[in-house]
Amino acid sequence: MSTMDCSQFAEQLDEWLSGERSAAARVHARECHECRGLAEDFLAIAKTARDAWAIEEPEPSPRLWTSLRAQMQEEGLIRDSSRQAAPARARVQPQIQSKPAGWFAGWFPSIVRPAVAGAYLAVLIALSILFVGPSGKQIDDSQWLERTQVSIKPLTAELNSAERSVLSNVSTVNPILSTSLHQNLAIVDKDISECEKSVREQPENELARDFLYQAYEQKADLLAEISDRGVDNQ
Amino acid sequence: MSSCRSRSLLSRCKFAGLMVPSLLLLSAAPASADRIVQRFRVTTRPVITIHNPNGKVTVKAWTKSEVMVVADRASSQVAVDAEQTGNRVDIVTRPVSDAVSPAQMRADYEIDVPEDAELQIHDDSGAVSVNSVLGDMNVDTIAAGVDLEDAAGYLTVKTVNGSFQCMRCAGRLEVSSISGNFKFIDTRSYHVNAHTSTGNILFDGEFLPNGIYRLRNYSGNIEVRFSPGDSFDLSATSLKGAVHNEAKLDPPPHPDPLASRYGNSLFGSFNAGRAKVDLTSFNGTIDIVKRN
Repeated sequence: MSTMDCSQFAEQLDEWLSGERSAAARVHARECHECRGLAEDFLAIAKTARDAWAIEEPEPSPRLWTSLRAQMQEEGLIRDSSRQAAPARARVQPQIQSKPAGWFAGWFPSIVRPAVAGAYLAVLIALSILFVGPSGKQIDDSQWLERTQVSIKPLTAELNSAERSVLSNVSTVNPILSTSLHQNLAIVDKDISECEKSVREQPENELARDFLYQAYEQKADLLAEISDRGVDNQ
Repeated sequence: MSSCRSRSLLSRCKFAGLMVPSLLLLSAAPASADRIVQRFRVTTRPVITIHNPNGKVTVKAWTKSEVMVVADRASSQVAVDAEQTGNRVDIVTRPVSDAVSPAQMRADYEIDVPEDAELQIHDDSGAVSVNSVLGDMNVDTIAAGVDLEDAAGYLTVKTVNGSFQCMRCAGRLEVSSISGNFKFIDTRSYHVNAHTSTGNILFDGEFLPNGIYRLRNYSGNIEVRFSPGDSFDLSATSLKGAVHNEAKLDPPPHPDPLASRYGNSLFGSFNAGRAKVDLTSFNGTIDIVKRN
């Protein structure tokens, strides 16, 4: 029987991802499907990011992290570290290569929607791969394409997983809202599909990648909205 | 003070917390079976939050140091809670039982607030209308359209497919949607950042010196109107759509060799280039039109 609840597990997520796993956390992960899935997702994403970054060792742009972090805070998926004593900058500009999961520290104690949080994180990781070019280095189309494919695959899987998880819990939502949300989800999916095609055709086209980034972000955002409404109406 | 979530509100909440005992609930009397009227005395820069799943939310500024809430419920199956905590008034529409249908979960509000009030409005469907409120504003909807008039402050609006219109707005504007249309009419804002996916964007306002105007969509049309006396640097790019321009632009002194590599792009300065106008679309059309 687990002596730890989900919020306590979330507080230890950083240690878990670093390999420091308490007995209580192990028991909880064994018994809680959602927390186990979340931890596994983070590990997979972090590994993918490390593999991809190993190609060129780029430095994530502060603007990217700041933007995504603000979005996640707004959605209530992470807490605002600016209100905490801990130095925020190290978290805003994470160093995944040197400490694979350290930057998770403090981000997820207040997770309320694990599936959507995972999707947000997937977007974050993928974008860092997609949009952070190696400073001062030239890379060719094939490298851009490789980088893109490496990032898109887990991202798509994570968003699809979040979509399945979220949509399975919104059966009682207001039909007007449900129609609106689903129609707009279809719009975002279409945008993603077109942007992905465009990025495949012109991997180094920064604007196309930027639109793709926004479409992914919109999808994660929309899934959070759907998740909220489903929970509200249950 | 758990209701004081925003850091920007903390100082106000601390001050307001001292005043709680002296604040009076002036009246809380039902005017009709489904109409509820409540008044709250507030001090400067009160915060008003509204959470309504469905219905019209109309907010107007007045000169009194009071917030008056008039709520019309669609049925007795929903309750309207309006509570004051310090200088903050929280208004919530909630079901009174588990058997409430979506159609019953509706309330219409008319709310009068001091003009320096800060608003946080969540209204999933219906309509949001705010008139002459000068404080910061955060509006979040799914299908509800948002109509602001004579607003100022830091205005953040987010919808899924609700439209957005802003008449004579000032301050800073951040607007995002997936399929909502945006209209900025007679805007005097120094910062406009608008993004919609399939929606259209019309900007028919002033370009203030040092102002930044970023309009972006995926597949809708972007139309920007200018006057001969305006002054701005223009960057307009549509990856797969057309860019039509009626402004006579001077070429940029240091053109970016990569900037026009993809899609249809236009860069240059109109007059002294005091404001920055950045228009971007994936496959929509961009029109820069001379104002009649």
